[in-house]
Amino acid sequence: MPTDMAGELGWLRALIEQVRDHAIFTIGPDGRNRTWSEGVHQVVGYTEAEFVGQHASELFTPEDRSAGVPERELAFAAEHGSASDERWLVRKDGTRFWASGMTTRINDARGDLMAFAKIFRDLTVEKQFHDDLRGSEERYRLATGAAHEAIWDRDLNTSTMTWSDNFEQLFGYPPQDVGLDVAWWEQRIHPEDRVRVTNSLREAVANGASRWEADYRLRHRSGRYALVEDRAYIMRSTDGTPLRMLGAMAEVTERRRAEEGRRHAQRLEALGRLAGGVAHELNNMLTAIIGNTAYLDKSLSAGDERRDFTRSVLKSAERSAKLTRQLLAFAQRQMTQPVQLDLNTLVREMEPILQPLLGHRIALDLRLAPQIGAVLADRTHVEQVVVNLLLNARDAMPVGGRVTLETQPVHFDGSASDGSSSLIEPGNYVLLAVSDTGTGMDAGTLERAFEPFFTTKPFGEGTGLGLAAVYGAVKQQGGYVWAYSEPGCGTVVKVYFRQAAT
Amino acid sequence: MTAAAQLLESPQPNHHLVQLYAEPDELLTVNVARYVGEGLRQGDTVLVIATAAHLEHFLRKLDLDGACPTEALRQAQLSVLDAEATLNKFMVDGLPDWRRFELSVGSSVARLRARAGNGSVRAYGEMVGLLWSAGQRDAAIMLESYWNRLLGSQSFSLYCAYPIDIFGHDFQVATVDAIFCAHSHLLPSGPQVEAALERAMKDVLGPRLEGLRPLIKANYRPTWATLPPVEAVILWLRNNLRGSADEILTRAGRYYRSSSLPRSTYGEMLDANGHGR
Repeated sequence: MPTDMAGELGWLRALIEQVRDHAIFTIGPDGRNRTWSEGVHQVVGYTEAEFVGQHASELFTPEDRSAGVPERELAFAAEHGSASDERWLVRKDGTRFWASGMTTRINDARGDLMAFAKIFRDLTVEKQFHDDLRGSEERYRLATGAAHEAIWDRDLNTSTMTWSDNFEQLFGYPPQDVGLDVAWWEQRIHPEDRVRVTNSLREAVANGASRWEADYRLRHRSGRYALVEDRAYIMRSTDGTPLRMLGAMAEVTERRRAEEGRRHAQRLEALGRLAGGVAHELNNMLTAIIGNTAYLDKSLSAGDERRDFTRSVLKSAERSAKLTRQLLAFAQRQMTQPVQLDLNTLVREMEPILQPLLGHRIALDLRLAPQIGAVLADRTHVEQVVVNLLLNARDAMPVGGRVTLETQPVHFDGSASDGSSSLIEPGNYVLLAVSDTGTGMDAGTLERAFEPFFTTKPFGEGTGLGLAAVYGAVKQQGGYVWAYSEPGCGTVVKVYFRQAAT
Repeated sequence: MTAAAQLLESPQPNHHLVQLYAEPDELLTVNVARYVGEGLRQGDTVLVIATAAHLEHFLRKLDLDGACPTEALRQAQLSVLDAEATLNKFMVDGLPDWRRFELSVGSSVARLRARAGNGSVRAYGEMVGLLWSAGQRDAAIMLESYWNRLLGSQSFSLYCAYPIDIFGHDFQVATVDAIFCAHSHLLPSGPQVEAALERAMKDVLGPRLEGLRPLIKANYRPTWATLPPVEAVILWLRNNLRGSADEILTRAGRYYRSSSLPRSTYGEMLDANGHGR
């Protein structure tokens, strides 16, 4: 061997010895290992003494050995010059790993088979990744078939996104309108959520996370915002470089609304108990104050200046009593005289006085469904509900607009899974809905709209007991009430009264 | 505080007030707003049965007076009903039916009574006025008797309004006596009317007026209802000075309507014995 050739081989050997993540060795034509490198030890655990002379097929799984795979591989390499493969191999400790390797025929100077050079590396992690990917793709296919989730695939290198076909069905955008770039998606995120969502995604990708999830509002093609739950896998290469994201997005507006409604109802119930308890005690004390002061007042002569004091006490006590009555209304502890009422008749009787309440700039539209059935309710309570809802609508439209008052019979059979209606006990109800074209409410205001003393009006212009009274009145009749609103999109309040048994 | 103001601000339970008015109804608006607004301020529960047009005026005036009608409506401290729709609920063959009246209006008052707790209930109604305008005067008086039955069984005060121009021909004893007899107090039409009447009487009667004054004061037509002096004088004129009454009252009406004085009610009232109250 020429000196320069020997030197070159020495250099090559030194290089091979430096390679730790690949097993590099040679196999004789007899199928036994001839050489060893440090990579062999790193990848399969054998020392040189253990490895050299050992039959190369020992690295194969028993099932592959039984199937003659080692022999076929060498034969293939002998015949074609090389054979590459990916398969499970076995380490010295018996554990399996996914190997990707190549076997190359080495000829002597005459061109006869001298040996085989084999190189492989452990690709278990990568295989897992691909398996995950395939699993995800399987889920993709499954989910694509599921109506309630839109599946998306984002290439993190090109910042492109593709969506499953049912994206149109769920969010209204036909395929030709859906942009392929990430910006298209980002632009449809609610402005208040956009920074939070894009930042969290960026951080998840940058921080090596394998998953990302976020809840946010995504604009439907109709313009409304849908509350979505977005969950995604982040696919990375073996060195952690983020490659793709595969996500599933589901609209949860109704579910969240139902959860929120349940939580809200519990909170109002607790508030009601508190308010009711306080008001009841206060009322008892006020009764004594009013009774005794009135007695004292009467015992004073007409010209007695001290009557100014007793009158003042009486006036303040009466005002306090009025407040306690309002609190008792919210706490659902008002006296009620339920009678069978036809809401349509009641609304028609009220119609002439509703317009004066609304003023000239607001049009009133009545949409009363025929044959809605009677409800069993206290007439004053129902009138109070109607008046409150219309006054709220009026206050939400300072420059005018339209109020729609609607009635219709509704049946709930307990199977509803959408939003608030899932909280309603099964049965027949009459819906009284009041909607306006006003300023609407943001989520924070809507959340607290039924709470006593909560008001958005300037100090002194409202007690914040109007909607609280509606809530109390409706609940006391065994009904349900919900408000839906968005800033700039108006408000609709739906009240469900139980239909009276016929 | 004048007697009329006292009546409007603090009516006693079972007081049954009546107001006569001519359109435009500025005086009526002022008085009703005072009656309702003061009731709201005192914590009373108030029922208003009015026409839509009047209701709008009342609500605006209540708002201007700082009585917060919106908040009262929200809390059902103030309830409003349409006069015509309410009337239709108990009228049968052109006359009010007691059982239906009790079921509708009686129930409304009872519900308000129940909600009022320790507070009082005051009601204002224009249904009788609608019947009167429609020429159903017997029905109006019958309805007044039903209201009185309610006042006898439930503790509340009531304020009625009739579209009767006191300067017009309708305002004479034969026509309005039944109305007065159905009420406890007629609310005065105000000092502006008094000034207009005085001027018209001087115009028409001239020096005779001073000679007639003692007669007028002594012989005004008393009823068991309490009448304000001006209205009493007009009734006297219609009854006893028929030859001049038309001219005096036409002039008085003209003076009154052209008066730049603000309309208000706080004139004096005379009881059945002609004493100031």
